[in-house]
Amino acid sequence: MLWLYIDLPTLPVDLCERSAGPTEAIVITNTAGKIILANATAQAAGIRPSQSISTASCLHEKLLIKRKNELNLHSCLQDIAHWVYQYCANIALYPPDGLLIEIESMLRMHGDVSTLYHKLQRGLTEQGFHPRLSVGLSPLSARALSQSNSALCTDNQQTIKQALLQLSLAHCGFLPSITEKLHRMGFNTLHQILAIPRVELAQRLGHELCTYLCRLTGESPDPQDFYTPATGFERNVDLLAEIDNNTGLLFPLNRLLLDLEIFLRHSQQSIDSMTLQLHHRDSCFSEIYIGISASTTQTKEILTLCSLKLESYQLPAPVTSITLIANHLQPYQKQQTDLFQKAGNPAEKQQLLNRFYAKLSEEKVVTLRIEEDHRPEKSYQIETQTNKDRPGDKKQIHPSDHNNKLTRPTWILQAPYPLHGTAVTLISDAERISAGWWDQSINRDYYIARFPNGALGWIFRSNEGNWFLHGWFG
Amino acid sequence: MDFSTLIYCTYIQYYFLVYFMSDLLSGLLNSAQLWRASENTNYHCPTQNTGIKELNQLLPGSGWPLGNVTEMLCDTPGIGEIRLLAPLLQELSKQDKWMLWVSPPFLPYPSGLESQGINHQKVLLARNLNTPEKLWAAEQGLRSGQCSVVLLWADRITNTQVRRLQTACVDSSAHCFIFRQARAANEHSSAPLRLGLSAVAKASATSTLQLSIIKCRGRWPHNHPVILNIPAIFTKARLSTFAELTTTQTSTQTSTQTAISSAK
Repeated sequence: MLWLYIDLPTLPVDLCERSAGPTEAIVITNTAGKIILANATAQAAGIRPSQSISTASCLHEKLLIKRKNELNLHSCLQDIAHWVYQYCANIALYPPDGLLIEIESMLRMHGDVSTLYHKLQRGLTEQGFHPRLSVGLSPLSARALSQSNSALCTDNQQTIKQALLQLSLAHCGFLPSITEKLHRMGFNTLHQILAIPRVELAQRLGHELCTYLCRLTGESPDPQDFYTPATGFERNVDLLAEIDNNTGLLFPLNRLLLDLEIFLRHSQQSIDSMTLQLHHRDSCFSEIYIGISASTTQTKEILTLCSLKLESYQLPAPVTSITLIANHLQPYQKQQTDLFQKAGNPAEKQQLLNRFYAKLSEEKVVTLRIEEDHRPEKSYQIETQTNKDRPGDKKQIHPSDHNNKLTRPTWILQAPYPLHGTAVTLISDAERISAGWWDQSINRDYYIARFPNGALGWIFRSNEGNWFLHGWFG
Repeated sequence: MDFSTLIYCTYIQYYFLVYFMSDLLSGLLNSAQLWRASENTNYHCPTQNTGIKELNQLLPGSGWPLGNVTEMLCDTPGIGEIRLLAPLLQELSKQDKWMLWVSPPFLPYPSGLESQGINHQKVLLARNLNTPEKLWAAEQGLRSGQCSVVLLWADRITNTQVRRLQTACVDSSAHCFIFRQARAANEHSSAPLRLGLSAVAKASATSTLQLSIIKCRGRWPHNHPVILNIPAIFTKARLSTFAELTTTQTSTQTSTQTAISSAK
């Protein structure tokens, strides 16, 4: 078996840099308040690991300080694993900062080790990480080799074995106390340790070391717990500084949406809605639902929708972190477009609708539908986004099906308006509409009438002899 | 100096004056720097047939200007403002694009649209909006390129906003009609075409629309209003022959003067 280990020693700093930008000086501290990691900008200012926060603050005036245990490294590892999943099937997480990949079964797909190696390295570097990769013959040896920065990229077993034997004891992953003891005994490389009979080693330094050595050299099996990708998308980004204006939210949101797009593309899925959770300082959060009328995978479009939605949203308190949840996933279907773009593009037509729904409220943007009923009030239906039928659910009345000979006005009043004493000129014969005995019976004579101001109205006389206006011939 | 010499001198002076003037004039006329309104026939704007012969003759380019804002100044709904556009809308419903109606005064009646040959499924309706939302919706519709026509009802619209819509319209080459109150005729507007619509008082049985051109780019506007005879309903059959009908049509329906108050 051939394994590849991705070591991310600067993961906490990379994570902060991704959300803050590379120009910020960022340091990561441990619980005791000592600096354990510093990014390039901070290092340029002279900040080194093991300095105290106060020393570092003196060296750089605008320092971003994060404690390591505040960062959500595990979810970040999972995101990386999800990204790696497009290349390899068997991935094991090695928290806090490593990933192990079984690559032998994937070599036929990628051709050779170096192709895969460079694909992963390039991809991770582009995402803002600083990975150290190395292959190994066992999981532990791959980890040891990558942590020692050997950067092995070959499937030649002899070379890998040789590199492992030359490994210094500090990188072998022994317990610090054991490494210390071995050093005092005068051992420096793994080669020297493996030359000693195991029984004697176990007597001196304990059984655990022997078991570990067996796993390291691949003599005993080392079963791994492989990663399975999540079914929905839920990701959180912690803001380095609180944001109190809506436009400021768009930058971190864009990052989230790019991740979402990658997730959707890899899983060949699309979303029709998503929820944005804005977490505030006092552990409460506000939720914004963003509905999308046709499923999409386009980040740019979703970001436009989000900005429209946020424009009209009043933030109750400054935001400390954002969570994006998209659990309603649908199989992605490529929409067919017209080659000559003469006709409207269905996807872009939907985009326009999405924008309207996001900016204006849902009941303000509607379409119309004809119902099969003789009563004018019941012969149409206003369709909003939610009560819209899926195409095919109901028989769509095609224009040609409809009786075009009927005289119907352009404008309809939603409730007939009583006419009191208005002198009008009737300019058409009566049209009797008598229907609806089953629920709301009407019995009316409709006329086209000219009003004194010259407008043409659609008026009717009810059974009781009262006159009503029901529409205008606009 | 005797009298005949005086006459002669005046004649000579006059002759030279005329000679030089005509030379100056012809020089001016021949140079391309002088713009003469009477010769301005080379205004090119893509247009679309209005479907109404009389209207075609009135408008520059013989049709509704594509990619331009047209203002319709009309106080009362129901005088034929949509019927005037019906042939255009009928043509546009063949395209697979939205026809966006932004805050119309009443609800468009789908059956009524269909009876005029307008596909109601292409109608996208934005209603109950405030003025900024109306303008935003209209502009989005134009900029998206997915609307064949945008009909906007907006009373309080400033010239800056009209110009903004005009810019959006030029990019999309869609039609845009803004319906405003008639009093806006006195205000300045950037719309290349402005029409005043009113109903003819004491008209015959069929609806008659009085149309005055307030402004039109590329041609001198007509000074006096023109009366267009538009039937109450454009049915598909009538639509095709409407151009002929408008000139010769006489009312076949007998008009009945009825005071509803008396009928009650």
